[in-house]
Amino acid sequence: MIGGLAFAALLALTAGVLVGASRSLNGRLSLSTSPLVASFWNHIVGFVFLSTVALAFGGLMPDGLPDAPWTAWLGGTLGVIFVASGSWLIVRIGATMTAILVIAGQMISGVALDFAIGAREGLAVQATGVALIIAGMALARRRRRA
Amino acid sequence: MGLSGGLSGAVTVMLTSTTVNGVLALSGTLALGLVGQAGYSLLADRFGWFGLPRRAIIGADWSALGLIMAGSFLIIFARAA
Repeated sequence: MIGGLAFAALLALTAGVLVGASRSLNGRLSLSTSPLVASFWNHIVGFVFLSTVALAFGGLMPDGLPDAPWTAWLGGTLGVIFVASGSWLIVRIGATMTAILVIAGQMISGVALDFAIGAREGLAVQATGVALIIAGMALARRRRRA
Repeated sequence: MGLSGGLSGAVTVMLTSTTVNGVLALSGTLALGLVGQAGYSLLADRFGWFGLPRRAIIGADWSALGLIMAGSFLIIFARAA
């Protein structure tokens, strides 16, 4: 079981590294083009790659696809904006600042969305987490002005 | 090489959809993903990986990183605990 856990941990760490690497590559591409063009090619290449994988292994068209609510399709649109903004940011404030500020926004909006839908377990701990994150963002902001 | 951002994004989704359904669950996947992302970013800035400018990491950066990671871990494990 330890072996299984170590392997899973390695996969999860690798996924995090790839999030950063993807942002570097798209950021570099955006220097030669623009953030939106970088996002366009990011999604084209991802589409072709995932389609190939899915054609080989199946699972491209899950059951109930036509019945999915229209909001289910918005994720991809938001992804386009996410990749473009990451490219715009990384060439301006660097990989570390981009990563931690994106993480900050992600965690705070996660807590807010959970709160909005009534999932409020461990709220005091979560609020403490949000306070720490906001303090970190304030520090990052001070550094940029200096 | 410039086009491989999309590849790593696609592989990220494949990796995380595997680990979320295993021993790590969502909280472990998120926490380790954040560690991987932060570690990568520090090295990428330090050495100017993939043709982006090098950036020195100063004291305040470490503090900001520490606070945001600590806060994220509290939130991630608030419900898992």
